[in-house]
Amino acid sequence: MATRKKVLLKVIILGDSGVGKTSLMNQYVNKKFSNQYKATIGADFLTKEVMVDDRIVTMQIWDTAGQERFQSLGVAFYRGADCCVLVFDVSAPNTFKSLDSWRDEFLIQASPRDPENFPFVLVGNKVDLDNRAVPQKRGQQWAQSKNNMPYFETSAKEGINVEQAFQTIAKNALAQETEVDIYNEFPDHITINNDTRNVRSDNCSC
Amino acid sequence: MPGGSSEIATDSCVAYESVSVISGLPLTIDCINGYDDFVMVGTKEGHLLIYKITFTPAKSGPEIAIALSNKNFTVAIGTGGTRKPIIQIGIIPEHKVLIALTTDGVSTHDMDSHNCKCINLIERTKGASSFALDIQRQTSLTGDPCLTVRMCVAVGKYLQLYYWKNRSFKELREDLMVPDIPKSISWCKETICLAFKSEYCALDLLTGKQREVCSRSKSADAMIVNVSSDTFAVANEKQCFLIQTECADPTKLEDREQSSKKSAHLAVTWTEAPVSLAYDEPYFIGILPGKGVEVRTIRPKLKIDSFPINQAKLAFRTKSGRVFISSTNSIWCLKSTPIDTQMDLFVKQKHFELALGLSNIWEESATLKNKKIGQIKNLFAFHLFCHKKFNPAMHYFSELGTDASHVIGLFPDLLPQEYRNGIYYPGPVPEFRGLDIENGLSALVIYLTNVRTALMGSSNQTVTDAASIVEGGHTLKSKRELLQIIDTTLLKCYLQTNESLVASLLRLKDNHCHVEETERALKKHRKYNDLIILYQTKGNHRKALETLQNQNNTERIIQYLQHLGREQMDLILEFAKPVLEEDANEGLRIFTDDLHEVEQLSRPRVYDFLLKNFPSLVIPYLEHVVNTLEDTNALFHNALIHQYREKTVSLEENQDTRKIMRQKLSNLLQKSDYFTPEIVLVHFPYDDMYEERAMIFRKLGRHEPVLSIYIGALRDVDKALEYCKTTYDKNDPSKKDVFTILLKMLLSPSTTILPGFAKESEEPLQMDKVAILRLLKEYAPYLDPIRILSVLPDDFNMCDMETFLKTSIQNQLAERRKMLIKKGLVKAEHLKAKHDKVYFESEGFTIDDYTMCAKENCNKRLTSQR
Repeated sequence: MATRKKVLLKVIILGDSGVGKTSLMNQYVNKKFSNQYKATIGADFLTKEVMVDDRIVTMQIWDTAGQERFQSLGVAFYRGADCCVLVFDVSAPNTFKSLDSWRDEFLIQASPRDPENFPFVLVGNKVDLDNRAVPQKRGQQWAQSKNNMPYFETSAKEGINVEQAFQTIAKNALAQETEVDIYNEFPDHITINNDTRNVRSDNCSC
Repeated sequence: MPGGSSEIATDSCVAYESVSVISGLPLTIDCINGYDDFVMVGTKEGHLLIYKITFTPAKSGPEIAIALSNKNFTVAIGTGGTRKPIIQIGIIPEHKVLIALTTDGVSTHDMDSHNCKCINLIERTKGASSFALDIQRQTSLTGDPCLTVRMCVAVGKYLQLYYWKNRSFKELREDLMVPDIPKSISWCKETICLAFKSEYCALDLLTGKQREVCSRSKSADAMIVNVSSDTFAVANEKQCFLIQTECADPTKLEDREQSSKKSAHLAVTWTEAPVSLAYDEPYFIGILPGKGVEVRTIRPKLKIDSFPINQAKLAFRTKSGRVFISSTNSIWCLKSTPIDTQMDLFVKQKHFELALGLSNIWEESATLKNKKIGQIKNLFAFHLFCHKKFNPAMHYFSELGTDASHVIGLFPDLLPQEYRNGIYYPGPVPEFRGLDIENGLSALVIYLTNVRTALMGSSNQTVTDAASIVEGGHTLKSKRELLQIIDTTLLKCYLQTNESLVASLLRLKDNHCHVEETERALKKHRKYNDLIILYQTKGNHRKALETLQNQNNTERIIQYLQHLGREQMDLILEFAKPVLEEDANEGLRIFTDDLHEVEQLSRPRVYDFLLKNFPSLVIPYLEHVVNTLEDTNALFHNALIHQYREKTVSLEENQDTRKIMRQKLSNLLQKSDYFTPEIVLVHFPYDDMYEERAMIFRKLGRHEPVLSIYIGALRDVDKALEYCKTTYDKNDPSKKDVFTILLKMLLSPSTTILPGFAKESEEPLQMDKVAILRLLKEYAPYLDPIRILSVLPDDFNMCDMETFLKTSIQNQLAERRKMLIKKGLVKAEHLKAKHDKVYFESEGFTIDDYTMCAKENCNKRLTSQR
């Protein structure tokens, strides 16, 4: 399987409104940050080329609306995702609480082949703030309980850990993508030919 | 479709009925054209005939009227004044202009004029072999219909291009040279399709590029027919190919070439090579020499009709559903049978795509049309389903908004039997097995997830537009019921295809899984973990916990209880009891683990519960509350002190434990600021634990009991002095006397030590002269000399008190001096104030309505303050 075709990784960012999904994406792709809050409507994506294990891959990062009234994404949107990034705000315990439902929602909509091993990455954003309310330990515990997903504490504002988080995202997404390739390269049916003409009398087919 | 049945009932007319219009014309028909009800016939003799042929429902046959018959039509063309054959006829219906090709070239004629008078002859076109018209009908911005007419004429190896303006053709651009004389040309948007000797070529007018699109056999006639605005069909012997001219974005030339290369695909295979072709959506009509007329479709490839008109030579479509066939001297009309009858027939034969295609040309009101299309699509989807084409079937159901319960009913064992019996399907539903059922369920999951998302997104509580697969079937109206069926089915599908999604679905806040049905399904699959999630999300915690108890899963019970939160306090305590009975230390985690919900539990209730049922856990729990959680509630501090004290004095505990407890007690007493000394003190014994009591009195700020304990009970002057030193505060009236109190106590223990603080068993305390002297000497500044002197016994030596007296006198003198200075300063200040007063009083000023109060932060008008 030495096919070095161009790889496109679809990464979806989910989380409550205002946790900094758009900011994370903007910090990573454009190295920019704005303090102004602007609700995302529907979904929007940016692409970035990254090196993963000596391979250049294109990451298509989908930023989604956290506010329920702007969510109009159907099954089609979630399908074919290679990695899902769950984001919460370390200064807002409620956003941490909703992680479970974001994850479940994603799994139901995307219904991946192997939900247990689908690559998720947990990101606790806004570590630059003083009023931290979700201790690092709780974040780690949660990530660990969900098949040991990688956990990063970031600040989109200060650019802390953002690069590292996305590097891991790309790596895990690529691993997932390759796995899917393997699936796809198998023919749908393996027909075992019941042709008996060639069977020799000694019942050996060698 | 099995291969053999690709022909549809040949004996009856399906799409068309043929009607003889004209027969035995004493002329030789060379070309034929027409529009609407008009048919133009050009003959070898140069005679032009225009017929108006109308069909009225009342009469069985057509009404035929000759609109024009001009035998000298060609005489007026050119200068020769002779009759010549009409090779080709074209029409611009909107302008009432007829275009004829004769040996003299292309001429235009006014159809409104008598005898179809010649308007103009384009001289340059003499010797032309054929021409093609391109008529584009658009609506201009003002809403007027707007017509663009272009014409391409093939003269030898040159293509001449014209456009129509002011009732004549003007040259559009310079001529294009082609490698060969085109046999036939057709114009399709910006592409001209040309038939050469051995191939068909597409000529792109924008780029000027020519490319071969299809090869052609020399033996058969060249034919090009426009199929749609961007597609044409070419014939090669028995076969007919469809060619797409444009890609979606005409600016991308690369794509354009690619897409055209791909687009030549086989459309129709005739029984024999046709001599003339016509396309009347969705049918191809081909004239087969000597055999008659065949009507075929592309998708699927079917032979629909055949008419034994053996002499037929030419076919031409004038309008939708009207095709004219001519032989050398006769004309027939193929008149379409009613579209709805055709549709019904195709539906019956399960050619749903064909039936749906026909709806495009069906002239009917939108509502009726949509209803019919909906019915057909539903049947089609059902048909697809029966043939294991699950994904397309689901796609149709989704598009149609078919009642989801009806779709679910297609699968076995997903709906309650009773409910399933009430749904009717167009035919027997096949029962799939193995891989098929798995593929089917996967498609169903996608479909249901889509329907679910759409339903949740809509604000309506009822579903009004759901359709049933069979017309008029009962559909679900309540959104809630529908969601219940969808979610429960999704769960069942997951159980069969992707088990790990079950938990995710059950955890969704808004899942509508039917509790009993889901319970049954989960139990059947032995999914107890998921069953517990179900109970949990539905708020049936008791059932969840009982299930866990039955499974003996202590760890899960602990976790479950930890996440219940303070609202479920009763339940937590009830189920915590057996866990604690089994393993007290593990069980305590229910109340002590570092989790948000656990932290929020009602601590007094937990304490109370533990005190009643598990006294051994009270200390660990209270320690957690006081030390880890740093609770400031006095209740817990008091209780913990109480517990430690009990343990310390308890005779049941061994020596080591008692020692540890005592240490902990004294640590807590020193560290804690939150216990209530009065309450705690009551429980301490009078004759023991003096140190601890001293600590409590200390908290209370009562020096006498503290010192009484140190002097009377413990007889430890150093400790008493230590206490005095840490407590003494010159400026606090309640604390400045501690040394004096201590000295008095040392002087006459019997009267000053509070009763009950001396150990009665021991000999009564005597005056400790050494300690007194030491105190007098070292702490002289902290003592009140007047009070001390009055209590000092007479037998004290003056020399012993030397330091004390000296220091006292010095202190008093220093104090006095300080006071004198202070007095002087105050006096000076007073005088200054007096002086200022006099000064200020000597000046007069007015207070009016606007004078502001000068007091800080007041700034109100003085007058308003009254």
